[in-house]
Amino acid sequence: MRERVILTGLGVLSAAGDDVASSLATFQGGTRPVTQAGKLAGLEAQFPLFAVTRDLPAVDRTYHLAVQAARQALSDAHLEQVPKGFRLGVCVGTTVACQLNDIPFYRMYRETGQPPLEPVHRFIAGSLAERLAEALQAQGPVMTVVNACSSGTDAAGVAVSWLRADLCDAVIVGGADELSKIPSSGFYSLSVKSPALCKPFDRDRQGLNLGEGAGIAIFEKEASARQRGVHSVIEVSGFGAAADGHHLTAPHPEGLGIEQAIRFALADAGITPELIDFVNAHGTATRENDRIEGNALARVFGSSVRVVSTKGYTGHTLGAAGGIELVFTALALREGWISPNIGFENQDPEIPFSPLQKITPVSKNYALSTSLAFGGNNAAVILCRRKGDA
Amino acid sequence: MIVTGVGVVGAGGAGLENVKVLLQSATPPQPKPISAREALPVLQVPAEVFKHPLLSPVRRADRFSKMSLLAALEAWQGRTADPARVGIILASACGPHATVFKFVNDLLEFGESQSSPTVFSQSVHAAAASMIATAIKSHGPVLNVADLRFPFETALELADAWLKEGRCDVVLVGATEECSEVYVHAVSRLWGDRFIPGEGAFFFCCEREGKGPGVRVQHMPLARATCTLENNLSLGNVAGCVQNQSWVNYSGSLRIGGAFLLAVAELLRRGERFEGVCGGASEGPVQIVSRCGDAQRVIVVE
Repeated sequence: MRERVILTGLGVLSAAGDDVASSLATFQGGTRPVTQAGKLAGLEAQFPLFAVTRDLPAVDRTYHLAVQAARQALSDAHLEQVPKGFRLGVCVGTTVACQLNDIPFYRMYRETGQPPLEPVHRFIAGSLAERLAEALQAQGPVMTVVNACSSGTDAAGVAVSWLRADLCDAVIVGGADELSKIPSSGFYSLSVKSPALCKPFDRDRQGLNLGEGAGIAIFEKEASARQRGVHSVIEVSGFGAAADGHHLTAPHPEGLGIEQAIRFALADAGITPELIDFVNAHGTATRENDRIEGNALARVFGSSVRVVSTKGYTGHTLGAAGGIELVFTALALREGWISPNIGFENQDPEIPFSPLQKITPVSKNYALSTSLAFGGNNAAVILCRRKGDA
Repeated sequence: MIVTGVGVVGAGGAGLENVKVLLQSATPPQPKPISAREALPVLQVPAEVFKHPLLSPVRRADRFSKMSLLAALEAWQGRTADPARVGIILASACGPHATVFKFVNDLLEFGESQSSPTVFSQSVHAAAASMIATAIKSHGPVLNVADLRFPFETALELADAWLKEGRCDVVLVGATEECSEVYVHAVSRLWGDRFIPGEGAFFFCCEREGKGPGVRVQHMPLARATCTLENNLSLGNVAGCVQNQSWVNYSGSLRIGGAFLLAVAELLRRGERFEGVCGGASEGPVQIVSRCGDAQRVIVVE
């Protein structure tokens, strides 16, 4: 019989809140936490940004975001002290922290040929996952996933595979990314940034807003959690990933990759689409993503599908998005209510549904979180609210 | 799992056969400076490799993607498989950093309003594997890994897990690293001329165990093996990035050196012998030991 994977800890930092409790309060309040952090990361203030408000160092910010969220999750999982012999893995996604992309360093290299090597030392000190493993004394497998905007969700898939293969007992899993000028300029060059606040799935959406944050969960073998005396109401039921094999930046025009990923996840969970209560969609608020993802969701679940994009609260946090949205999906199942899709006003005639516009009770036990990314990567993870194990 | 196809792009050119010829000749390729600006000799992939006919559909792609694609296509060998059940994993330490710096350069030179969406798209780690998926028409999972210690070994271990789990029937797993001016500059400032930076792409088509030799990854070495290929890596300022000297002359120093050595191991398994390089390997398992600090990973080929 296949190893059951449960979720024993959650940690999150984003513009929506510095932890689980403050994020839930933001959702209940139904207001946008947008910040015009013009000076942050050298970014122009002409586009809205969703920055974490907690005071964190600007240098190595992704690492600090990840450590904060991971410590929250480990505390939630009663793993502040990792037991001797406990095989704790680390699998996290990122985009910014996987590149030696320090602009002042490169400017100095261009101009003087002798840049200070401090950014290089920071880079070779280890990848995001390697540094987290060292800081948190995790002795299991370590991997940094760099699948662009689906990195966090793909990391969840890796963690599930590791646990099923008995490579470890538990995994610190999720994603982290900071606001950075390089992806900001890249998305500007692709003309997908919105000058206004983002409006996921809305008819008049103009594009995405960038954000930063970290979302970390602890995935654990059920047997391991039982042995530690830790209970969980959330099970990681299924995962699926599929490549469009179509284009470097644009998703497949009919969303075949994301549909395939969702169907893989449903098959992995052993459930039919009717059992899914809601979808925490990628929903970036770009014209193409929302139309393509929305139609793929409607094909799998029907036009009455209940959908929310939480990017109206966090902005698009790139490599962190999958991790943050995994945490938000788990929270909705755990708390029994789904946050509204903030920013939505008018239904798009090209999308067969309207997303949820008010706090909505969870009525079934399964929920899906989806991610689409550059390179045509698509990933989907299904969580389940378990009965009688609270 | 078993390896059913190998693809190599390295300092000796493109193709596993070239690795064999190079090692049999026992004459390493000559390292050369990457540019007039950086004097440290490096082992780069020869320029003619990038004119390979298989690369004409992606002629605008960057070096990182082209190396990856060419090695992946050799390993793939045009096989047929259910596209939804083919996985791709690409591991790297530094990823397509030359393209990242090209984007940064354009940003400094021309400003944000003139930055190129094409260059930005190719600077993303996921670009190369995406091109591979498009080229072989696969629609299964694609994963990109960026770690400094054991990126290839961890990727290989995950490929094994995907096959055992039944997620895929075939996994094309590989590793790619490129040299750039900035990279060479940093290396020479940190470690002087203590090692030769290298670049290359190494891919392996992996399938579930059946009849034939297996490949597995262990976190500790086997007690007994008839041949050990060493890939010693150290991070930080301690000892630089150093491989066993006999190999580094052929591949250059690579954080993904384990992938190059797996290609060598595959040649040894097929009965090839490289007396002038690693002595006379005899029959039996080959273990590839990668070390970094006090950690190590062992790829066992038997």
